[in-house]
Amino acid sequence: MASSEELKLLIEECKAQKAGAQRQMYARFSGQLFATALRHTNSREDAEDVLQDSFVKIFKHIKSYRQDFSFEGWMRRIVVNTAITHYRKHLKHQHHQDIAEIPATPRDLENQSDPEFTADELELAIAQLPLGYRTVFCMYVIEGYKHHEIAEQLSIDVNTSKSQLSRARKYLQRVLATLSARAQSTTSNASGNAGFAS
Amino acid sequence: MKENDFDMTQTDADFDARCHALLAEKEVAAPPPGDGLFAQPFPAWKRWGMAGGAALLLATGAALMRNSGEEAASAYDGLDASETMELREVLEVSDAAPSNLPVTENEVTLEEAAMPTPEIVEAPEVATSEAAPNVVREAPVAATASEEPALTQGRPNIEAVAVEEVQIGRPSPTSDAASTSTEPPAVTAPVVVPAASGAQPGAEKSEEEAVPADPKPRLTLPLTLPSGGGQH
Repeated sequence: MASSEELKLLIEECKAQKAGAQRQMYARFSGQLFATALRHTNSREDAEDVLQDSFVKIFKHIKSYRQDFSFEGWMRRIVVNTAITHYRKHLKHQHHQDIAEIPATPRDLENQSDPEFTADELELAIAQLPLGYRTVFCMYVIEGYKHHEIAEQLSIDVNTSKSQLSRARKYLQRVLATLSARAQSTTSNASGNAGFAS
Repeated sequence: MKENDFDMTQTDADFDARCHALLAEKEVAAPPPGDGLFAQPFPAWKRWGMAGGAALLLATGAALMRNSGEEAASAYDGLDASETMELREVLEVSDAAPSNLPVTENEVTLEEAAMPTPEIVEAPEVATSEAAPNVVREAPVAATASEEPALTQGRPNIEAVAVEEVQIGRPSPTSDAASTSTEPPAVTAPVVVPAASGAQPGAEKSEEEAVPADPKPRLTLPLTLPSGGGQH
């Protein structure tokens, strides 16, 4: 990660429309921003389009960037807003679409409040969310949006944003718990078989 | 219930924090940048081309301004430098001295026949064919009256030329010889002055006789342009 001074210099050169600085900026932040685009789109192709459009906006409006705000956070917001702009109609429909019946939590996992899960498992669980709930959850939890900002971006009510966030969170917790339980069960079965065999 | 709500809130907060920590800094291999995403540097040949185009525009504009200035200064076409200078002198003199010389009807007739402008003293056909008619139009009518005296003065003036032009073949009796020899370089009629006096003496004589003699030398606008060179 570049130091703050190096990043400031890079930003200033991008403001001067220097192609070399722009290439360097893309190489440094495209991975992070592409991950953000993937969370807010339904396919890799859509995410690539969103990433491309986002960088166009970044280079175009970088002169308006203020140093008192996180540059990564500023770019990430551009990506999210670009994804929302591209799929606004679809997001509206998704907001009204209710999350599918959440599978009943297995008895042995009811008291498990802090399931262990990895980043890959979390991404897998998030991908199973409907796009509307997924967008609200990612904007609030990962991108750092406030509920009134989410409501303004998605053209929904603040209470709707809160309720969708809550439901998305519960869904993910239970999915992750199930995944964790399955993983533990697999591990215990493997060790048991090994012991039985011995 | 409150404890449960607190627990749930704390659980939710912990869950959110853990999700943020796992995914906020996560990176995924991004596709290569698309064409036209980055600023294109200005190629050298374009820079030189633009510079050359700008220089060409400036040169063209300066040339146009120069030409327009020259055209405004010289209203005579086809004049050489000396004729232009003489003509300008005539113009200046004519502007300074209001033309109040009488114009005979004959002269007017000749003038009108030669040039449509009534102010024109005369515009001999011979001269006008070579000289710029525009210049002649501006010539004061009264130039002919003082042509004879002007001729004898040996000064390059419009009157001499104008008289020569109008009074074709009618040189001044007193200065006939002088006019031919000391006649100022045809200020007005380059063709007429040297040629009219020699080529058409008869016509000049007849016109001179029609014009009343005016002892006072007066400058008039030349009807024709001097042939070039002349005595100053």
